[in-house]
Amino acid sequence: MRKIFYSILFLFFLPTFLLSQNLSITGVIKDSETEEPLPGATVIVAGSSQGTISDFDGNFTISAPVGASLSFSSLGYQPQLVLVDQDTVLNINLSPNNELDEIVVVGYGSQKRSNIVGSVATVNVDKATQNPTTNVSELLRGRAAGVQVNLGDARPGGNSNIVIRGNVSVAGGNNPLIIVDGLPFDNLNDIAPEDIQSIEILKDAVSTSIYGARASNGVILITTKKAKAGYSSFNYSGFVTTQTLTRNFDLYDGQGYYQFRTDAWKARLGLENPPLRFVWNEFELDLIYNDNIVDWEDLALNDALLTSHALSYSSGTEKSTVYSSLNYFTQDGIIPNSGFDRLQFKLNYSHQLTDKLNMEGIINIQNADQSRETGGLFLANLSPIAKPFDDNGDLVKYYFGQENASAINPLWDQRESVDETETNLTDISLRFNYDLLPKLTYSLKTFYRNRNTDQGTYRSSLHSAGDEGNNGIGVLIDTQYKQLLVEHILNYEILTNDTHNLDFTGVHSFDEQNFKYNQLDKSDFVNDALGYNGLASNLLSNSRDVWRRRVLSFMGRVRYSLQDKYLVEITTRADGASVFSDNNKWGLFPALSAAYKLDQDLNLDSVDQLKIRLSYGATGNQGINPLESLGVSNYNPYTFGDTTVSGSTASSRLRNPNLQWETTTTLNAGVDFGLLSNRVRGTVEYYKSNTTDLLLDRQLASSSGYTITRFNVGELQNTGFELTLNNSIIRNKDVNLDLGLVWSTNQNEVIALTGETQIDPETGAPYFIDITDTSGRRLSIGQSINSLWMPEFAGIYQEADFLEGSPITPRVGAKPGHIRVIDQNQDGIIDINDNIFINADPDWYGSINASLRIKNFDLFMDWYFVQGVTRINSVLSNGEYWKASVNGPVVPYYTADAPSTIWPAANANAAWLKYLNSFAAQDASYQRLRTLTVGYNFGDTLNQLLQTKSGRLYFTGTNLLTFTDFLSYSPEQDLSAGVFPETLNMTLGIKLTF
Amino acid sequence: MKKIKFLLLIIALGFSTSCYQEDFLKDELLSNNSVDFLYSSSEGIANAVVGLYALNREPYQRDWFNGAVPLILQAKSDISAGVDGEISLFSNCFWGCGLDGDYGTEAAFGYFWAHNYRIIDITNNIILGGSTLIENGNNEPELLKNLAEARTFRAHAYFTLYRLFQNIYLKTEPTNPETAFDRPQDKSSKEEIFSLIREDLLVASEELSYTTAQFGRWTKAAVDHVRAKVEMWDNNYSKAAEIIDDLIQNSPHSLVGVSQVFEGELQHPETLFAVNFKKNAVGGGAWHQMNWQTVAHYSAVPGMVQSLENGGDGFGFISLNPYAVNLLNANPNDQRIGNYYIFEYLYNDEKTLPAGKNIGDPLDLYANSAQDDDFFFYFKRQSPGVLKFLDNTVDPTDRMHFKNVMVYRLAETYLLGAEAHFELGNTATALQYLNAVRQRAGINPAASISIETIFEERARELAFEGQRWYSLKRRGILYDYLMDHMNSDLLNTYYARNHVNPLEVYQPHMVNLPIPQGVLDLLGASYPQNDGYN
Repeated sequence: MRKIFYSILFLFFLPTFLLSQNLSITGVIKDSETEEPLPGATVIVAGSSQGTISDFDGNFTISAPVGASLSFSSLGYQPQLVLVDQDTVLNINLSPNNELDEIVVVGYGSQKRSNIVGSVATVNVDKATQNPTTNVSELLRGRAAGVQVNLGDARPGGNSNIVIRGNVSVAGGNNPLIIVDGLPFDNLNDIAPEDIQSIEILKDAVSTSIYGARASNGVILITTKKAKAGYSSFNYSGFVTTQTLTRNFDLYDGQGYYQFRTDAWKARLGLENPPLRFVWNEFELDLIYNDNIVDWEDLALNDALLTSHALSYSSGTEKSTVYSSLNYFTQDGIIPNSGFDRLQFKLNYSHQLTDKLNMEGIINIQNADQSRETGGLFLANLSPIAKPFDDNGDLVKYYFGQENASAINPLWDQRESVDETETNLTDISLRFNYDLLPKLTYSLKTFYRNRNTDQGTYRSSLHSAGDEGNNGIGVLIDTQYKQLLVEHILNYEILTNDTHNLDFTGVHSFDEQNFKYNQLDKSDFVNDALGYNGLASNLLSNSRDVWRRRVLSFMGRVRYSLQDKYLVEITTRADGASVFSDNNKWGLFPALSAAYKLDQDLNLDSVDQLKIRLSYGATGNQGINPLESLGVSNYNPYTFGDTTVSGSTASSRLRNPNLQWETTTTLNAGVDFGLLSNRVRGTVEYYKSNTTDLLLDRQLASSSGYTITRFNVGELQNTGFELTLNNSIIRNKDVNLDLGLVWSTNQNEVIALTGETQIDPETGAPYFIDITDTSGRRLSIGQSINSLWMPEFAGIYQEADFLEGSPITPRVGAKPGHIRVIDQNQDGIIDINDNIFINADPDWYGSINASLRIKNFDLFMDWYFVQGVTRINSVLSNGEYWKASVNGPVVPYYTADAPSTIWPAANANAAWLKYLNSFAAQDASYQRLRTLTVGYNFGDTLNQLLQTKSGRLYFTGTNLLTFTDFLSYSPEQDLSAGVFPETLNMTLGIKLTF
Repeated sequence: MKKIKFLLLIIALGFSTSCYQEDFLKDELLSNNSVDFLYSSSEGIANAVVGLYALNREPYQRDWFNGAVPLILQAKSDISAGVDGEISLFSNCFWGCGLDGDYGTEAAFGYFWAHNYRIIDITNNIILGGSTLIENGNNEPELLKNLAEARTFRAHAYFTLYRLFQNIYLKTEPTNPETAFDRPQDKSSKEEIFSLIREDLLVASEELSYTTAQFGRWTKAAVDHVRAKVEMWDNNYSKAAEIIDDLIQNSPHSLVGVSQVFEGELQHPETLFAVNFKKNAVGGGAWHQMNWQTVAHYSAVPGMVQSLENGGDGFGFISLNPYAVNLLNANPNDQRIGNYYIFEYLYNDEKTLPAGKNIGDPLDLYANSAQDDDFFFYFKRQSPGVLKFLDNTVDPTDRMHFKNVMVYRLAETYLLGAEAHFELGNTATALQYLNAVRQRAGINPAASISIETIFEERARELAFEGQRWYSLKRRGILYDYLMDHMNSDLLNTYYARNHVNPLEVYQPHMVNLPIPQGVLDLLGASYPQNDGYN
């Protein structure tokens, strides 16, 4: 399989063309600022395919006819055109690119950075791709203001969630729209980090509204690498990473756990010396006497390796360019049986068919295999007093012996299970651009995506789920996802002169997504040898799910600039989405923005750029599931005696025949500035976005017979400030020092809900009712949608609280060491009237990065901060832990001898330990050294020796230091069953260009 | 190049026109049936009725609280001892006796409320759809039978809700998107509720026959049994006696031998209604853990491993309390011991057998005494357990059981008959019915009869079948019986070490379950909570 890929790769190497020669020209190419020679710069004879590349000292030799133009270019420099006359020696000075003149990709086109009117953040790809992962979302963390990344699944092949400028929707989903090379992607991780050329984040309405549907959550625009005319290179990039478990807590060892559980039984029985038989079963006592102690993490977890190889070739002539790459990534997880392998092939091709007709093609082919550990593994919970191996050193099934058959050895189940998912992805995109008139271009863009996944899990006849007469249980899941997108794009540059620039873009598109799902559950396998591929005699269940969603769109955009100083942009998009009810399919999303380049009128030496931007506009959200406007019934068969009879039950989700678009209207104001020769550059932005007709999942009175319905009501507001600052402190030939700061804050507030009121029985005043959504979130006017609603934790009851005259009146039934919560209305009972809202969202988050280059060495450091976030730590809200019936983090819990005021007492009857959630809602703020990279860039000697154009050797440490009070593997990870620990990574890598 | 342009034009037009078809943006059901299908054809109604049976099984297979849900009422009755686990919290009133942040009330009682109203809304849909079909001339016998079963489910759900919560309201129209947010402001009267229940059950009784080809469906006999219970609840003893006499005399049902009552799949003449399970079968349901909850954790004792003879896998979360054990021990040779209940767990593991014990010796390590808190081990590991839920087809170490669960059986009909006739003064018939059950169990016939003796017999015969809490409440003696028998004295004082003695917590108003706050929040502001909880 892999050999085939290599062969395909080489097929795309293009032949070079030869031209007759007239004049031999030689010269040196240098950096205009530093006067250093530029190796690897491209020289081409314009209008031909002939070209060359400067050598290590910047020297070049090329043949060209008199009267031809020579084009000189190099990455990071502005290209230059020189006319060939009789001079045979040409010394060229190339000036470094000015950031403001960079061309930035925006929706349906591109724009000079200085002319951008909306809120567009550019992610520094070099900095972003320092971390070794396939989780592209993680690469965006801390890289752009307003972009919040929350760790989803740290498992190999896992993903994270991106929220741009806060949650604008309750139920419509908050995932941003991902556009790669103009094509919508449903998964950011389908892109190989090595292929990424640039990443732009579109945040305000004028930037995003041209994407209308789904754009209310922001847009991530990714452009992959393309070849350039007259330049070819061969690149290799590879790294190897070790992953190590990291955590900020200790687990009880044998002795500690012994004491922990003894204390828990002391409290339960009210006896100073609880009889041993209460605390331990006979098997455990035996282990204790024989000092049989287990360190489960030590047994089960291993440092694991991750390896990546990326090869790419790019080559171009005036007529054709091709970029092709091959990426291979393999990662083992620190938990046995977990891992991820991926092979990717990519081809970006473009060809000028005629003077007027240009064709572009994109092919992505991917094969990924993910394997997962058997579900629910939670080593931190396992008692260290256990016996996972028998006396011969073989794994046993029950770590407390046969008589305690509920204590199943997780290592045994790991050994007896497989869970594998294979994903095959094929993307094909063809685009034709045709110049109808010199300034009028029509483009037809087509895109077809096919993703098939095949998942098989098998629990063998020895596994705790596959045993006891099941003879193995297998689950086979097939999914098929197809997407077809067709867009017609018209681009018209109506005016292009020094005073006026006016262009128009019109788009019509349709987008169809089809999904099919098959699941078969089987048992009674012939034997375990073939795993889930084996034949089985018993069909446990089968299910089939098919859905389809379609969107039709029309979009128009006008951009105008006056004297390159006043900029205006107007866009309007109309979208029709199938998921809404019959008479509410269409939504209209207009936006308007204006900018003023103040610097042109200021004429201050120290101010290189000063631009004020203002935009206002609407975007829509259709991120709900199909069928919610229709009534659905579920298969619900029953066995009468030995006969199975088909049955059906209406879904507990009530249909809503009036479902419609959710609309987010955003006001954005921003200032871009560049000071002191652009050494200090930055952006300050303020936004306010209001989402109306919220798509809400609303709980229905259970007496209606339904639990939930989706409907549009209410309003949600997000406001925030964002700051991006870069300072080139030192910029000279040998030393560069840059400091970067990204800082964001977002305030989320529910403005309106259903409008229904109830009368407060105590005050007689009406109040707006709160509503609860499916995930249990309570929505209340004036509160964030990400709030915890619970009694307020007020510490731990102390013995003194129970003495006569104590200012505290303990709750009925409370004892010293129990959790105390505040009786807000002082009516003597704790009920929902005492609940308070705690905002779970961070107050702010951001990053500070520094990069330093001294000659050939560089250093990059990235600190990430999240402040003021509250999260319930499941391990601490788990009653089993406080009963000491499972292990967990070592904490200074309350005892009579050492009464803690913040940690409750362990009690083997945890039911008496109320309000654990109030206690476990803890501050999860953190500061983390996410990335530290030290690199060496090859000097001339090494480049000559290795025959490379350039090379780089680097070391990266990821998640090296974390400061937080939140006890977990990662402050973004709740410590609970099934969580895959985030790791500390050490990477050694090399990049070579030939 | 002309060709390419032409081709491009064709492609462009081709793609564009395809999306202007009518209904291009229509949302369609591609792999699910619509609810309209369920209620608009006799085929759909047949499907929906089977769905009701599956829904009705749901509480038994809930794996919340270690599978405690189907045992909550048993735990709240006077013949059980809550030992450990979530179920014991219902026994000792830590859960389910109040509102203030009470998770048991919110989760479990909230589920009871929602589950029964869900059945009601579905049956409302079925009955409305069915009557439309009938109006349009459809009178297939199958349709009428299905409608009768749906009516039985509706009546049963209302009867259950009323008995649990009392303050409930009647709803006979299907919920639709326009009415979904309506908030009832008041409860319905008992008369309205009972009138609907009686009407539904009468229609069902007349439509259904005594036998069914599909074991597990409602039959006329089962419906009549429920009708008798309804009449008893309304103190209408003569009507109840009439229905019961008819059922006992005219139906093909009869009492079976004591060893057969809970044998196999319960498919025998005594069973009136049972919930069906089948392992590894489509539609067979998920497992229940009732056996694991109610059989002692004897396997923790050296010398003992799980075995079918000892009642399979047990964890001793709840057991018969001393009051129930004494009742069963009151008569010599009561054969229900050993068949319905397990009183002795026998040593059976040679490998770990402690010195001084032989294989086959009964476990007698523990005593129900305060000495060293020995009672706790007595209840957890040795106390008499219940064999009514034991699935003897699964491995003895398996807690997941698929045995059919008995809901109504003829022995209860006899005991209801005894009570009805006693109230009517027909002591001879009352004694005849009572003694039919006693003699079947191998104990001496009673010579005299009283409400007390009837309820003692109900405890012996029907313990843990889920009817006792209702029956005690019906007679207005639930509070007194709980004060006299609840759990055991030692367990009650043991609970008090960490909280409060349940005898002090339990109040007379608690015979009505509290309406959970989460339920009340979504009802009208003036909707009445049951008395005593505010």
